[in-house]
Amino acid sequence: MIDEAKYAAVYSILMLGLIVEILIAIDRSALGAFADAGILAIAVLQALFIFMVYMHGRYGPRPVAVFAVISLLTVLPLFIALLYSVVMPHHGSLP
Amino acid sequence: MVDWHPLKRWLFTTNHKDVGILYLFTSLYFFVAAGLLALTFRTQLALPSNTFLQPDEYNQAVTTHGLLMLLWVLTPLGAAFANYFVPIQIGARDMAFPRLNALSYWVYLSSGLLALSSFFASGGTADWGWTTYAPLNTVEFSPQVGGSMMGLALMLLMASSIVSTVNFLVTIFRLRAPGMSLMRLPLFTWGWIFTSLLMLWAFPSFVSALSLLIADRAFGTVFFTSPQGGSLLWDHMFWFFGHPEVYVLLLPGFAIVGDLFSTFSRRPLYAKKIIIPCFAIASILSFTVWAHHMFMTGISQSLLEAFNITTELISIPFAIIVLAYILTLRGGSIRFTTPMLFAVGSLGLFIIGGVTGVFNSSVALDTAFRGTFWVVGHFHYTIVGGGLTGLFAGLYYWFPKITGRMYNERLGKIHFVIYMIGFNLLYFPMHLLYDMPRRIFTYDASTGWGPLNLLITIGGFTFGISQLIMFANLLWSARRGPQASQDPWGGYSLEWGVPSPPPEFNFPEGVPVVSATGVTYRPVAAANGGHAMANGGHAYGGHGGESSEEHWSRWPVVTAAGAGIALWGVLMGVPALILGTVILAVSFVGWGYESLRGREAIEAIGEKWPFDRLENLSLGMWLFIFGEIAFFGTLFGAFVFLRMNSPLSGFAWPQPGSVHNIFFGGFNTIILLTSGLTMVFALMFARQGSYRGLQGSLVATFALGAFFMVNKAFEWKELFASGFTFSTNPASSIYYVLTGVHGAHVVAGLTALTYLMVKALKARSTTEAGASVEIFGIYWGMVDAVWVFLFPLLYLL
Repeated sequence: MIDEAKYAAVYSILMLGLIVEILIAIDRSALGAFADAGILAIAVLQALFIFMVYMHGRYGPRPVAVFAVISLLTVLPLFIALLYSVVMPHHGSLP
Repeated sequence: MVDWHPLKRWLFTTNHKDVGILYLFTSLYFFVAAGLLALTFRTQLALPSNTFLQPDEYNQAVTTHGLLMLLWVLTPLGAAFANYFVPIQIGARDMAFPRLNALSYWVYLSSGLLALSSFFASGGTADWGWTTYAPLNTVEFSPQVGGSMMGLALMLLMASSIVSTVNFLVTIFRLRAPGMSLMRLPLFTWGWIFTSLLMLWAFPSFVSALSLLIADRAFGTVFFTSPQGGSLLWDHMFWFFGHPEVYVLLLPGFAIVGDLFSTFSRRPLYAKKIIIPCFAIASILSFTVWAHHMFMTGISQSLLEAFNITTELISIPFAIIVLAYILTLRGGSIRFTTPMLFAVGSLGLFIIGGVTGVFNSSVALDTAFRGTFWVVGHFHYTIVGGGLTGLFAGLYYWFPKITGRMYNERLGKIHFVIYMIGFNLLYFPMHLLYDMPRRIFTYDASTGWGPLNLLITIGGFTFGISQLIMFANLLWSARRGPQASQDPWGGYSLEWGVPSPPPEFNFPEGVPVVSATGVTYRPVAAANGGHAMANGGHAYGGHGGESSEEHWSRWPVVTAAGAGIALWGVLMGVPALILGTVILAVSFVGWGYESLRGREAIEAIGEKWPFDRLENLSLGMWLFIFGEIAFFGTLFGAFVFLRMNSPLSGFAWPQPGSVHNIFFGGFNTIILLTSGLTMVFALMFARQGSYRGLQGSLVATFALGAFFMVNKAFEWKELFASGFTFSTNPASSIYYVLTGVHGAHVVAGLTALTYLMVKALKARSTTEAGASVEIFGIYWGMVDAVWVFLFPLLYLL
């Protein structure tokens, strides 16, 4: 019964997150410049709940969580470099 | 009566040593092929204004040489030794997933044959250089079907490598013998851990890049042909894989050198506790240096400075390792046998490669050297000098263990001398050609490059001939060489404690128990806490009543053949595509049938830290998902790049709701997330022992997943009808690729779910089905987690 309640609660949170995301997208004025960040933050939280509750099952999550974080950190430099490649001025013509 | 037993053995074996030998022969075969290609284009460059090759032929030869050497020779040659020796070095009887191990090999072979067959396609094979730079890789500049075939071959190879990586990591983390703590692992196994981790996180990003490339070439998407993506996007995605790949090539050979220095100087490895963290630091830093290949692409000054610093930083751990290796020799009783000569030679060549690499890390110097033969010389000193020479040291070192016979020492030393002369004649003069562009098929005599090029070509042929001495020596010695003892070198790792060659399951005396004072062996029941092993109580070592045929499986080779034929058929004709698909489908059924009989269970009985509480399959699934994070992470990175670049390049990204129906997307999200809930309910019911609940939940998950896909297909149809096609703009291209690869994951999940439902129906208990349900649940959770990002990215932002 405890498991059922836990899974149902997480499902409710995911649904709530989805509704809030759509509401923000429809009416961005409420959050203004933070609308996109708000939507992405909700997505991150949803993924976190799925990872913590739906995915790790009965096993200890610690080493898995550590490796998952390392996996995310691995692609982080790529994100930063891709963003920088676009938003920062290019160094101009080459000799 | 023909005896088919030997043929069946090599086709169907799942034994890690057999698979290692298959890798060894195949990688050396591709080495010969790549070497002949190199001699071909070196002949072309030997003289000014030479017409030995036409420009297209030259480009194809250079491209295929580079790709073969890096991906089908060096990495698999390391994998050959890893397959053969890592299980023995950790005290295991086999890999964690022997059938997957065999599958990795056959898919590797299949991908290599696909790559070579592209030469015979109309217009020849890929001609864009091994870096596959955009826009050379696009249909406009490389219309030949052979280019697409090479792309598919690369994807197949990446799949093989990722599966192999997962297998190795589970094996090393979960199957170590009692007392075999991580710090007691030989350096080669440590090197292979980091190699595997690099492959796990770097190779998926190449799969992402190839996915976009193949989408461009096959479906007309505009990732690398539009100003929003273009060559810069390819450069980032490719080199994010490409630079860690350098360390994938280097680390196995480099680690072998460390072990050999220790063995042949009769000294413990100096500062092993520092060397291993240095391997780790170098591996981490290898993900932060890739843009030094892009100093001339126009990226911002701040990025140039950042990557200049990280590239110089990465030389520090390697400098420490080199010093530790040299200090290992101090005071030792050094024996200059052939393996040791190659080890010393490898370190010397690597130092030259490393020093010239520091030149390249400087933005100022790199601006002068980029795209010249200086760079070619540098990376060959690093990869061939440090990597391949180290692996050849390993080949001589382990030859007696693999064959049970000694090679000819005199011929080995002659090989070494000619190898070093040839190598340095071949690659050192390239540094003097720092003003000669590397991507030209000929040059005029007035440039003055002729004499050095002739010298380089002579060096190339000398280097090539030296390999013939090695092949002759090893092939002759394998049959007629003197018998090798169990430990001809005085080695310290576990493989030297078993007979040469090792028996089928490695440890005839029982389970090795490792301690500070040495290795003892104890019977399997005692080591296993008195419990029978999962594979029916077979002995840990020796045959123990277990025949090798019991571990044969025909499905790995059949699956790989099906995949290769199907991919070949994608480009060459529907009949081959259908045939390949049918073979694949049959093989999947075969796998499921075999698995139901539980033939590949290998019990974990020793050290398992840090994954003590995970089962082998769970850990394997998690590792696969870590790779998926890199795969989808790179695709998300491409999305961000295209999106951010759009306003700057004159393209207005569609506003939310203008193309996609937010509510329809939201509805489909509810469907998928609900399937996630039914999936965890399935696991819950399995644990509670409720058959009806388990079966009902699995069926509900399947129905919801299928409904999600039907909706997605409907959405695609509507979008196409409205003119939003693959090639409309970057927004449409990335939408179709992201939803397409996610959809492919859903379909793969539904296929696995079908198997699970059958298993749940046949299972004797819900507990038996529960383990599989849990592993599938992890996968399905990942599919959900990816979608919770895709929905806002594609529909809301």
